[in-house]
Amino acid sequence: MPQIRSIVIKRKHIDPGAEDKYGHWWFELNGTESYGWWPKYPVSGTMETFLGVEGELNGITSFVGRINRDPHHGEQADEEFHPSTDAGDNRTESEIMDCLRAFALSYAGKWQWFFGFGQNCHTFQSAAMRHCKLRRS
Amino acid sequence: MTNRGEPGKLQYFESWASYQIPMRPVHPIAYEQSEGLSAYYLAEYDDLGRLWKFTKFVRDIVATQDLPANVVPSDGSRTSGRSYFEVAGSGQPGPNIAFPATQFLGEYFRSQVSSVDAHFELQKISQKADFQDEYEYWPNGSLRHRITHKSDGSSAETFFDERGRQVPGLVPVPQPIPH
Repeated sequence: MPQIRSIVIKRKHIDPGAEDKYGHWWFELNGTESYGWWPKYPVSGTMETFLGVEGELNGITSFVGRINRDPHHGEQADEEFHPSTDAGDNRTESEIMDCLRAFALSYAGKWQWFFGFGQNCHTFQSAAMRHCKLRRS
Repeated sequence: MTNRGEPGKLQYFESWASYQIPMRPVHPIAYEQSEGLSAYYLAEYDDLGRLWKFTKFVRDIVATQDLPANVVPSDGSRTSGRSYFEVAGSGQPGPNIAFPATQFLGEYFRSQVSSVDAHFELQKISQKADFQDEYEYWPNGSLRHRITHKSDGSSAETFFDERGRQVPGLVPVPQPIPH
C-alpha cells in the first residue's frame, strides 16, 4: 500500500478532562492547504453541540480559517499519518489531492457532535478518506 | 480551560482550543520550544489578566538549496544538527545566530540534514503573522468587541452585548477598556 507523502491526516483527540476538550481533525495537502469542518458561529454549550448548528468548511466566518486553510493549519496533532491507497490504485498524488479538495469544497450541512455521531470534524475527515479511497497507513 | 493569564504578560502557546470566542490558548511554551513547529501563537494579556491580543505565526520554507561551502554551522561540522543564520542584505546567509534570536525575524536561514537523501541543506524560512485577534470586554467580563486582522490585510469586526450575544452594530463603551 503506497503512502501518499504529500497528504497528512492530523488528529487532536477529544479529551473531556483536558484543556482541549473538543480536539480537532483536519488534513493538510502539500503543507500549503488544509481542510476541516467547523461550526459557522461560536458554540455556546452542550445543547448546541448535541443538537447541531450551521456548519462551515474551515471555520471561515468565526475562527479565521480560509477557503483552503483550516484554522489549525501547520500545528502539530496528537496523531499524524500519511494515508495510503490500495494496491493497484494508479492515481497520482495530484489526482488524490484533487479528490480530497473537491470533496471538501462540496461538503455542506450542520456541525454536530453527539457522542461521535453527526457532521463534525471527525466524520468529515473519515468521509473524505472513504470518498477518495484512502486508508490509514 | 481558560483564556486568562498573568496580567500584562506575553505567553507563547502551541495551539488553541474550543469552538468559542475569545480563542482559548492551550499548551504554553517558551519561544525556544517552538523550534520544530510550523505554527505557534502569542497571547497578550491586559492588566486584569484577560486575553486582549492573540496572534498566530506560521513558518514556511520559501527556498531550499545545498549548503554553500562558505556557510559554516555553529558546531562547525556541516554534518549534524541545526544552525540558524540571519538574512544578509544581499539575501544570502549572514551571521550565524542562536535559535532564540529568530524570535523577531521575518526571515532567516536554517541549515539541517535533508530528510530525503541526508545531505546538508539550507532552507530559507519565512516567519510571519497569519492572523491576529484583538478583544475588548464589558465590565462584567463578557466579550464586547473582536477585531480580526488577516495576513491579506483585511480585517473584520464583531460586536457583542453584555450577555455575549453577537450584535450587528457598534455598542457604546461605558468606560475605558484597560490594555
